[in-house]
Amino acid sequence: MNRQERTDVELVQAVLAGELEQFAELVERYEKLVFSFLLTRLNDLQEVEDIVQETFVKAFRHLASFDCERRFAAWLLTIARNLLIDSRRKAGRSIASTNLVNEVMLTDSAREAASQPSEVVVRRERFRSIVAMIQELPEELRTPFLLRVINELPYQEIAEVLDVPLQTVKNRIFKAREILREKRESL
Amino acid sequence: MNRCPEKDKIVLFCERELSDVEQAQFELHLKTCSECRLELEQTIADDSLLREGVEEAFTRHRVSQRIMAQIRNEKTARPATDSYKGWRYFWLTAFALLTIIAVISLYTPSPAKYQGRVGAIMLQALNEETTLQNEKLAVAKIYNLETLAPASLDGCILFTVSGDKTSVFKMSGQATVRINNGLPEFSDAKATFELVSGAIITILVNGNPLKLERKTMIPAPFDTSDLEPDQVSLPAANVPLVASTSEQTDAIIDDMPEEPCIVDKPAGNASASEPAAEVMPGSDTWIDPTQAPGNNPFADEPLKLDGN
Repeated sequence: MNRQERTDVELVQAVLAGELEQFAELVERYEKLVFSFLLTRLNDLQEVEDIVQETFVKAFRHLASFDCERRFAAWLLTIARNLLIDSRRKAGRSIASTNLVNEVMLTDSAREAASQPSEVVVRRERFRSIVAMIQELPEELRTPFLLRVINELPYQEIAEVLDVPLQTVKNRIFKAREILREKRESL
Repeated sequence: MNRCPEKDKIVLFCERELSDVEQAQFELHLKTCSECRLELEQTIADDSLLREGVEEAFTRHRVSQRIMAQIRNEKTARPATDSYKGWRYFWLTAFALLTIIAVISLYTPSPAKYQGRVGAIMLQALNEETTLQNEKLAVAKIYNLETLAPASLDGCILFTVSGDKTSVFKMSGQATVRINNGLPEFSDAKATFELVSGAIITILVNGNPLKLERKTMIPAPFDTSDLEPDQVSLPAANVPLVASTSEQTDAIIDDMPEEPCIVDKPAGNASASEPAAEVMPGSDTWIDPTQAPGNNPFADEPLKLDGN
């Protein structure tokens, strides 16, 4: 069977059987998911990196306890959420900081390199504003919205990852968009 | 400025949740409504900016290499499939055992070491075959070793050693017993010893110290194959510990002195010197054990002892 065609459960079983490198495929599939999940919840990219790493390492260590009836992505997000809670206990509740946004947008991407400095500033300010608005969303709205917009997951997959009904996912995403639109109008 | 009523459809349009007909109608509306068009453009631009920003950050902050490096460096270089569970079960088992030990130790006084001097040693024959100075010992009678020592014993004997603490141990076999420097000394011993209760005690056996611990049979330092097994034949030992309706048990119960059930008489009818009345079925104070549950004598409701 082609490695790309393997399901998450098959990869998990392969890793448990000793094929350590198969875990890299799971990392490849879900690193961005965990990263984006954490990005709007922390104000330090270094901390985001650390918790992403810790999430996967913890998942690897406890892989034998993974319930194959569950979605692997959902399990990862549960681990990430728990690590995030631990981190917040130590550091206090995080808010969107300018440093984070600047760091996120501090890039040598072709887009910014080709842009006028004023355009770069506007873009960064806009991004900071969006992140700040998303951070103010309730947890139950924020996660499905991010999974939808950043990870571009279909509703059904979001419902499976979050273990909530399909219609609930739709309602929450619509609600999140409505709130963001209202905030945008009020700016 | 009035808000465009079609604006609510922007979210549904972005999420592709409009039917084909609704979508076509909304696209027509967008051509004529700059407010909705601007809002839609802003929504799409924000989504795009958010995606790009996160993607840029993700590209620069990927940790997949670090993750795999750490995993490869894990001690076993493989997930703790069995060991994880094994450690979990180990800790659970250890916790359970510690809990049990703690509970047991709470309710079971641990035998303290008996280090004090012997105040008195009382002995008691446990069967009718036990002899003292070659004469049969009366069973169930307690003797003070101090008045007998040195005592030549043969049989099964219970020793109660009292001082700062009390130890009770059993000797089965032959030995000459006396008190030596505050310790029970058994010379010419061909016997086994067992601490029955109380503090751990050290005794002298054939010149060597021997520590007796709770419920631990101390093997004799010689061949004991010729020793008779312990036969406890105290009269009380034959009484079954569990009540039964067997004929034998009934007979034993019949032999026991009957203690009448005493119930205080109501005030005014009884005096301290007056003997307590025996309660019999049908008498005023008789409580029928077969009465209905509603008349449970242990209920909070005060009992009526007047028979009404």
